[in-house]
Amino acid sequence: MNSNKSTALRIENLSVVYNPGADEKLAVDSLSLAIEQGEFFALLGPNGAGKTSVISSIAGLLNVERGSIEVFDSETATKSAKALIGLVPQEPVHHGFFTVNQVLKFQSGYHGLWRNQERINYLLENLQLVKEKNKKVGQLSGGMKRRLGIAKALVHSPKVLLLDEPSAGVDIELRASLWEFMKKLNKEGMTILLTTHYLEEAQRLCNRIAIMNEGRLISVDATQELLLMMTERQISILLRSGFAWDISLMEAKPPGVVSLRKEGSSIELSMSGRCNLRDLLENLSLKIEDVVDIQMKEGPLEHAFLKIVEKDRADSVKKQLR
Amino acid sequence: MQTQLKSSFVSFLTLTEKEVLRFLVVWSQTLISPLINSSLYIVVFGVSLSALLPAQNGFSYLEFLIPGLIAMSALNNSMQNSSSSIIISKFHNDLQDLKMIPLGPAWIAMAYATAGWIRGLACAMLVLFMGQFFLFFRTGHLLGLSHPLAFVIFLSLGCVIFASLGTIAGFRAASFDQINAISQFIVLPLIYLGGVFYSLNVLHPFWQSVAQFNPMVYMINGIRWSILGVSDISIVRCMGLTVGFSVFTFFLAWRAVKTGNYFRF
Repeated sequence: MNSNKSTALRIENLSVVYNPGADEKLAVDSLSLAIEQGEFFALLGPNGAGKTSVISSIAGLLNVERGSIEVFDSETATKSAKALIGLVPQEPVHHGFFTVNQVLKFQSGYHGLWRNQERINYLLENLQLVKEKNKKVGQLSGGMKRRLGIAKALVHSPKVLLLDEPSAGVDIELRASLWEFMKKLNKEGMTILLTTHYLEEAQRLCNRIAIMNEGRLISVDATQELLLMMTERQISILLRSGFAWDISLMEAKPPGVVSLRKEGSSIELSMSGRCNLRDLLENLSLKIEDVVDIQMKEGPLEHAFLKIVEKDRADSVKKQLR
Repeated sequence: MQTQLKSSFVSFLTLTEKEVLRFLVVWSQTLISPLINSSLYIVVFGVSLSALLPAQNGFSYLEFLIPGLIAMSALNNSMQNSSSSIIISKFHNDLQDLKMIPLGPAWIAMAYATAGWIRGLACAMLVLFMGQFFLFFRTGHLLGLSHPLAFVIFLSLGCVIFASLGTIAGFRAASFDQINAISQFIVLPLIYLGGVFYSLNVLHPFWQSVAQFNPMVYMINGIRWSILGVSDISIVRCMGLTVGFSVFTFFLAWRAVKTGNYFRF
């Protein structure tokens, strides 16, 4: 992480309780998290984990009663913090009375920007909404409404963008163009916090990933580290032709190797944890000159996610039984 | 500080513009429908039954009725403007936008009050023109404004009070039914019993005393006084209480915006 970067979002001991009293539900439990400026950060979790409650608290939709949230050192829900945040909500909003352009003009005006047509046009172009500019929102398809929601969140050029499952129910083409645009914004310095159930998107886009379960933060790690530690990597070692390697000569699987098999002239193995290539070749009784090619493929984030959540559930059950 | 004020003012103007455009987009429901409603009262009571109804405070029933209908239309539509806009926004799930913008609750309450005031004035003017048309058609003369400045003040304060009541109802209500109930069971009876159709002098003394507790009485009397120059109650008292109500309801509207429910029901 670049040490010159400042903290974009700082969440300290955040708890969100719905229906306080006898029937209360703890949606977020003492969550603390810091997201640096310019990060593309994923907040993942099963349904009901508390992701939307966290996002809503940051955006000022929910009043923060326990704990604190700071956006670039401004307390959340203050005017200065609101100016720094753009939210794409989980459900697209309707605005049936007005046209796309009017909605974006209003949103600009709400942020004190009287003349903002240049920015609006830029967003309409990048989100492929130019043809829909003068259409009433009620006439738009679900995907178009989603794009409008994103344009609305970006119209005042926020420094932090909160994306609450923005690609749910969106077709593949739009999803691809949407993520290209998000990557561009992130490269330009925008901090992005994403919640999604499409884990491959989080794996591809995000530098760091946090996982929540039952309101608690159960894991925060760099994406690569998470994949390295929590998934099995598929490694394929292509041997030079004519080189005879016999799996039956292996007394035991080398450390870290979960499965091992020979397929024609290549060795296919899956590994967990860190991999030192030299040690691996040595353990497999291979010399570098025997190897033509090595291919490595990270395990999917889905595996890490399931492992972490299942472990947390098992720990919770154990705690309850104690 | 100056930049922040300018930004808030732009934001306030935008919300007001949006609220005004909203009722203009559906003008047949928001402007023409109340005009037809008032016209029917004029035709039925002011024209057809006028000969059977006694003169009130020295004016023909039609002349007496027109200021009352102006007040009723203005007040009712000011309230409808904010309450229906807020409840529809909740239904569309875009009211939450207001929770995320850097605009304070006082500005938001003021924007709803301003938009309600504009619709209230527009409805009042339409009813005034329609009333003048029927009056001229029937008597050959028009109603003048006895106190034009007072007319603007009473009408404006009345609209602000009712627009603020609409804001309170909109933010507190959790369904269309609740909004309708507030309008049908509380506000409309108070307006109807506030002297739109009759002078308080025709009531039994007991009911005259009861009517003093109806805040609408003071606004309707104030508007009637500013047109006809006659009032059932001291005009200073009418003005004082109307100003007081406007401050009080605006305060409650500010509280409702600050603590109310912005989410879809």
